[in-house]
Amino acid sequence: MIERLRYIRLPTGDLTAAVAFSRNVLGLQDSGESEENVRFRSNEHAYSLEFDQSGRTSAPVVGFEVRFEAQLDEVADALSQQGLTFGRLSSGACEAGLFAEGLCFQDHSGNLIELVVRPHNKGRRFFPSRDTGLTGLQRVALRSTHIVADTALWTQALGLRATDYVGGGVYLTMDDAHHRVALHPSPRNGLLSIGFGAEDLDAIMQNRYWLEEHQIRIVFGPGREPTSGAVTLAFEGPEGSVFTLGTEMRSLGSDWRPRQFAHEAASFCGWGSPNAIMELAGGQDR
Amino acid sequence: MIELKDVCYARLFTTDLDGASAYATTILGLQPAGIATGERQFRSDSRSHTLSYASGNPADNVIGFELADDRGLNDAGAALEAMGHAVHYGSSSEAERRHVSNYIAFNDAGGTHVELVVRPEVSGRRFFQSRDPGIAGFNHVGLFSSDPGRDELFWTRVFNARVSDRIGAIPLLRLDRIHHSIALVPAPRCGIQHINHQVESVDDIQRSHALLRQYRVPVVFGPGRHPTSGARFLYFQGPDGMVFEYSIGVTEVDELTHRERQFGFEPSSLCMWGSKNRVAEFGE
Repeated sequence: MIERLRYIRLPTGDLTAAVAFSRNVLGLQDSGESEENVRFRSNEHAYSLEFDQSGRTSAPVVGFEVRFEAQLDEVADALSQQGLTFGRLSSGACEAGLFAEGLCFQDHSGNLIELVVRPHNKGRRFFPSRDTGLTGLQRVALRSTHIVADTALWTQALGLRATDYVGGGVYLTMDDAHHRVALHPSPRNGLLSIGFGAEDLDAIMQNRYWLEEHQIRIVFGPGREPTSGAVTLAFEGPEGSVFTLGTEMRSLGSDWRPRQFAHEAASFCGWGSPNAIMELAGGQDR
Repeated sequence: MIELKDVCYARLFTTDLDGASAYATTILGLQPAGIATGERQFRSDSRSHTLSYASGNPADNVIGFELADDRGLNDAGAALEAMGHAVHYGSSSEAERRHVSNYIAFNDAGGTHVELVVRPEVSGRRFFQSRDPGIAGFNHVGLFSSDPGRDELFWTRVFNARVSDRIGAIPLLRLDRIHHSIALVPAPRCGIQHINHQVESVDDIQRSHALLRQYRVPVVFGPGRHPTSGARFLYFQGPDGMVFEYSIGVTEVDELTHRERQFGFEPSSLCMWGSKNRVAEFGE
C-alpha cells in the first residue's frame, strides 16, 4: 500500500533558524520558499523537509506516497473501521504540496500522517549545500501512546511489515530496508526523530566531529543498532526536533523473521553509546 | 641489506609490574602467556608472546624484529658493527627467555633499543583474549626519533624498510605489503612511541572506545581514520606513559605501483574524520 516515505513537515516559530540549520548543518538543498514556509531537498524528490510558519501546521506531519488514488479510499475505509477520522486534502493544498491527491489523518496517538499520490520528483539531481554525505530521507521514528493499536494501524490498514521488536516498540518497513518507520511506546505522542541516510561510516564520523566542533548537541552515538545494523548519529535540530544520520542499515530478504529484543540499552546500541532520548535509553542492562 | 620480516615483540619495563600486567589483560585484552625470569609475557596472536612487562626503567623499552635465519643475523651483526654500533650477541638462556632460537641486540643512532631475532616461537594453541576487544594481533610500532631524516636512511638503507607515506617529517615505513610497520615520530627522545594491535572490525574500535571511557582510560586520539593507511583507529594511554592503539583496515601497498605521498603536517593528515589529537608528538 504505502510505497515511500516522502516528506516531513514541521511547524516552526523561527523560519530563519530552521533555514540556517537545514542548509548549514544538514547540508540540504533549497527547494522553494515563501514568507511562511521553506522546503529542502535531500534526494531526487521535490522536497523532503518543510518548515511551516503559517500556523496551519499544528504539529509535525509525516508524508508517505501511495501509487493510486483508489488506494486513498481503501485506507479511508480501513481507518473508519479502526475508529479513526480522516480528511481529503483540498486541491489547493495538493497543488501547493506538489502532488495530485492526498489524505490526512491522525494515528491512535494523535500523530499527523499524510498519504499522497504522484508527488513530484525533480529532473536535476540533489546537490548538497555542504559535503555531509547525505543520501536522502530514510526513516522516521514516532512516539506512540497506544502502541498496540498503532502497530495494528500500520500493519493492517497501511500495509507495513513488522521487522523487529524492542520491548513494546516495533520497526516497520514497506520495502527491503530494515525499517522506514519505528514506533516507540511513550507517555506522549510526537515525532521522535527524522532520519537521513549517509554514504558511509566516514560520513557519520566526519559529521560527528563537525557537530561537536559547532556545538550542536549529540543525543546518541555514533552507535550501531543491533536491530537494523545501522550506524546512527542523532542530534538536536530546531525547536526540540531530533535528526539522525544512518548508514549500513540491513537489507532484508523475503525470509526475514521479526525478532524480539529486550527493552535494555544494549538493544539500542551494540557499541555501548548512551542514548539521551528517554524512549531509546533502554533502562538498565539485564 | 638486512631483511626484516616483521615486528616481533615489544619488551616494556615498568615501576609497577602488577599494575602494568593487569592493564595488559583487563584493558588491552591480551592473554597471559607465562613468566620468564621476572618477565611477564602476553600473547596477541598465534605467536608465543608479542608483549612483555618486567620491572625496570620504562625508558629502556625494546622493539624486536624478526629476521629470516641465522646467516641473516650474522650478516646483520657484522654490518652493524662495521657501522660502529655495539652489538650484543644473545646467550642461549637470553634467547630462551625471549622464546627465539637466536638474537642480537643493538641501539640505533638515536639510542632506541632494537633486537633482531630468528625463529620466534608460535603457539600450538590459538590466542584467547582476556576480554573481547576483537584483537587480531600485534601489528606495528611508532618509534621516537630525534632525527627522522637520519633514522629513515638507517631503516631504509641498512634494512629493507620502504617509505609508504610521509606526514610532515613523520615517515611511515613498511617491511612487507602492510602500509607501515614503523612510524618514525620526531621527538627529542628514543624508544617506542606507540604500540598497535589490529582488531577485527570497526565495531571493535567503537566498542572499546565506549569501554575505555567507562574505565576512565584516557583516550588520546580518535575514534578516527588515517587518510594515509586508511585505518580506523583509537589511541589510548597505557602504563608509564606508553600509548596503545587499536586499528582496523590498514591498506596493503602494491610494491610496483605505489609511490610515497607527502601529506602536510596538519590535523586532517592524521585524521580525516576530524577527531582531536592529544598525542603531543603528533602536533596540535
